[in-house]
Amino acid sequence: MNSPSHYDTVIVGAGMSGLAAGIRLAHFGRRVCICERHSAPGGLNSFYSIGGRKYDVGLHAMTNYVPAGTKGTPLGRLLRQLRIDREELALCPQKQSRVVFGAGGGAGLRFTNDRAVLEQEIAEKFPRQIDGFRRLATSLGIYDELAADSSGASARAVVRRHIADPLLEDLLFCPLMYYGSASERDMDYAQFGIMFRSIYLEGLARPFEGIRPIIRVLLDKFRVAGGERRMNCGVARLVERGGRVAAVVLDDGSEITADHVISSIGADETRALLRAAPYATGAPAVEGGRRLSFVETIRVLRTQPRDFGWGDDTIVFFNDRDRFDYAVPAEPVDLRSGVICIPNNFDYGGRDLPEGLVRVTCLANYAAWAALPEPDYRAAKARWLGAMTASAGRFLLPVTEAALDAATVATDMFTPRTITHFTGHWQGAVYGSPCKVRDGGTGLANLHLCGTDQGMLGIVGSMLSGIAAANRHVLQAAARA
Amino acid sequence: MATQNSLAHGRCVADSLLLRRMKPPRIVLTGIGLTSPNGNTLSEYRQNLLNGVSGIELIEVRYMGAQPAGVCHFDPLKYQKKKDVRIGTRAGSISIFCAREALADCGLDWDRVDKTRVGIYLGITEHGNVETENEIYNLSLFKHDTRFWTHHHNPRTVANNPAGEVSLNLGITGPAYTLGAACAAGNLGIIHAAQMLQLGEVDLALAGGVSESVGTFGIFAAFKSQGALASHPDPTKASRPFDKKRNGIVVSEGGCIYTMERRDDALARGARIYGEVGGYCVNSDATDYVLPNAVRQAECIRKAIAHAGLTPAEIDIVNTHATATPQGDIQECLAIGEVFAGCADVNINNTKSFIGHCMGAAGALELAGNLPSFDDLIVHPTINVDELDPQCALSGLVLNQPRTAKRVDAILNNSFGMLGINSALIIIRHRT
Amino acid sequence: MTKDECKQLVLSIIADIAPDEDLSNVKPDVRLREQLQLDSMDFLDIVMELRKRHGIEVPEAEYIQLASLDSCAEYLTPKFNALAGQS
Repeated sequence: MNSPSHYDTVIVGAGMSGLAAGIRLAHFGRRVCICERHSAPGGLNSFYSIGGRKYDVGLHAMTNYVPAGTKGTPLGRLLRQLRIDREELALCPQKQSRVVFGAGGGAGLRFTNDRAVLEQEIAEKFPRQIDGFRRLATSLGIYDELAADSSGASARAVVRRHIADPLLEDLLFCPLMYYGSASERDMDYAQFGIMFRSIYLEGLARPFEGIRPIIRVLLDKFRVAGGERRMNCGVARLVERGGRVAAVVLDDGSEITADHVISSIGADETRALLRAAPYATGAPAVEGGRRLSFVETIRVLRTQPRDFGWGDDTIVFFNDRDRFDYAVPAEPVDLRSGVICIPNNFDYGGRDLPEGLVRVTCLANYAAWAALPEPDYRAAKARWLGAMTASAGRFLLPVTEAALDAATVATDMFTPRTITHFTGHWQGAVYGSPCKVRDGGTGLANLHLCGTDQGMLGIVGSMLSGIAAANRHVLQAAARA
Repeated sequence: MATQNSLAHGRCVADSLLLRRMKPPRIVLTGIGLTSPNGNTLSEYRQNLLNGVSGIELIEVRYMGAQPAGVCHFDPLKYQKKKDVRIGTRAGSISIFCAREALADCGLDWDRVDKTRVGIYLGITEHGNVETENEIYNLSLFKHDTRFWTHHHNPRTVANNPAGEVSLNLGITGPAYTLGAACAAGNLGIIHAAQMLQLGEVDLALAGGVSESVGTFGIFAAFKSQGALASHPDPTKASRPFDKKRNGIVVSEGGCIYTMERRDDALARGARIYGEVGGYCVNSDATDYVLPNAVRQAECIRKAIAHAGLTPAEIDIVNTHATATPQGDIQECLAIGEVFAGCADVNINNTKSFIGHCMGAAGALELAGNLPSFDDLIVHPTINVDELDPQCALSGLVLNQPRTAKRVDAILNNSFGMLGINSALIIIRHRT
Repeated sequence: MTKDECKQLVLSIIADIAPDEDLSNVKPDVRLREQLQLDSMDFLDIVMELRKRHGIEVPEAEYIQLASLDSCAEYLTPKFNALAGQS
């Protein structure tokens, strides 16, 4: 059927995985339509501007960074599959990251994009664990996440076979959890492996302009390949008939049809589209279990962070005690631990960002934020902004509150509520459901998942997830037919 | 798809068109991107206009030796890759530079703009001469064997090339084309964009004019054959409108592109507004291929002023077209003298004395040089008038030195072109 | 289409899929995966590009025929010529 409202594939969500899937399909001549409810693309890694200033939503750093010429890595595979020239992403590597525990910052590890640095740190600070660490790193280094199944094994249990020091164990888990874990306190070993490789064995990087150049490249590729993208056009319902999606109902009530549907909005969120009830923002909090979410503050400075002596660290993962507790907090914000990201401190080849930027991220409780009436919500944000600044400040070279205020030109803050509002992901979940669906199946023959809940993590991971979904469920399926 | 929905939709469009014709939306300029022989930013360009600095230099023109010309010195690689510069045209590079600068200036979050609702409307005098002449020259090196004619030639020479290159560079999927209106083209780009915005065809327009004409010897040679090509031992003094010793045109390249929006949209997003489109008129002489007609020019100016709902006394700055041809300057002065008879306070200037004749870009660039006057009340002069030609002695002429005006609320921008096309554009100071 | 032309065609597809690979010394009788860094996704793309550019279908069961340039030529040349015969 060649009617204007029938497509080979409809993709729900114009985030990184949806765009990547769309590029693959459009490149091979499929009629694709990506439907995105929001006005901006990028999903959990989108962007916005306030007062003429540009901000990124999600991107601290892109994981899976490897230097040019490195073969056989997720980044390389991604560039090939999407026919993207490495230079188009213009990735700039991190300078260094630190994991620091203890109120006085007593224990910690440094790591860079050179895995030897982390090894050296462990050899010096945990000399009895270095052999175990090397064994662990070696076994994880030969991992292929595309082939991996959710092993169901506890990452903690496996790691403890190699590393006997709980402090080192938590130091290693801390960044991996903050940058990709949907599970409280422990991780699936397969997920742990993906994160370990993408951060410790590969590296972190960021384009000078943040997420926008990456999104621009994806949008361009998709457009040039002939893909169609409808913004401000969410999917309200998926109509099932005979074990298949028979129609896609959009927010405005109109219907489009497709041979295949790929959904990037999350497993539970997708199942909700199959039910009769019309779309509702902010799903029942109980459904699908507790979700890990965050608050993040962004502070724009008129000075470069190095002027405060903050010029060395790209990312600081902090925790003010010896054991690291990664879980949904009872309070609105868990001040005990968090992530400080200083986007200025990537190696931009001699260029400086036009302004100083410092981001502080902490674990947060969605329900506590979602229930607040608007004026209380704003007041709570202001209060917690101060508290998070103070908490994070313990782990950077000290700067007086007066000096920091004088240097601050703007602040912004988002909460779990913001995340749900703009992405539709339930309970402000950034890393999706703790239960991943590796094969992307939903029970319906022509509906598949991609993105976070398919189990691939990080920006590179989510794009590979979209690529794999397009390849496996549409392109190869047709070849088999 | 003749469903109930589309019929109703069609009726709605017709109703809204009717409404708009009754009271068309007001249109404003919200961003400026330019490259001229006198600067690549508005502030640099304006500073040189106020300081009496000419941007004309001597260049080597094939078969003609050294000629005074206006050349732009912007960095094409700021917004283009080397490959794109090589495959595309100079006019394309100028257009891309100006469009990107205008977008950076206007404060819009470009990543959030719906690219299907952006239009590109660029005035050009000519396009294709540069590429064709150069390709024929290259071919002569291969004994005119047409197997060596580049496959890039067609996309390089279609008249919409400058607009098309902008669309490619920015991923704009709305309408993108050029308007051919000889030396009036710069105004036509702005006028046409205003109309498209009023019709609701687009929500954002990139509009103005561009020219790469210094790249072709043919235009120089043709002006010379007409007796209309300027010469002077000092290139900075070669372009001398209204001066007794003027002897013709200085050919220049350049570009100026504005972001234009409906006033309500601009106000809603808190945009900075350079000015508002007050009124305009476009007409034709129907007299001669080359020589201008003062009667039709006067008519064009009067109609523009009426279209803006103003009287001649309410025009504060008149930026003349005057290209420094012996005849052309006189005709325009006749027209202006007649329309503005008795208007003691009107200030009359000219930009070509500084930057030469930027062809398709002229109208747009010359307007840009005057827009800052809304804020600082200073009117830039016309330079190189050592001895004013009595036949061009308009009382409002601002000669050689800038002048402070009592009031700058309305600017009239004249651009006249070959085959008798006339355009007059009025920009008024925006008041909230 | 000769077998040599077929090998060139396959190489040009690989050049587009994996522009970072050095194709100057590819031995025709050695498995491509042993000389170049190509994984299953890349092989899928070779199949997809054959279909997109030339209308050639390679069923999944026969992917193994594309293991080396020589085997590609053996397998694909008759398919190209069959298509040409039909047009």
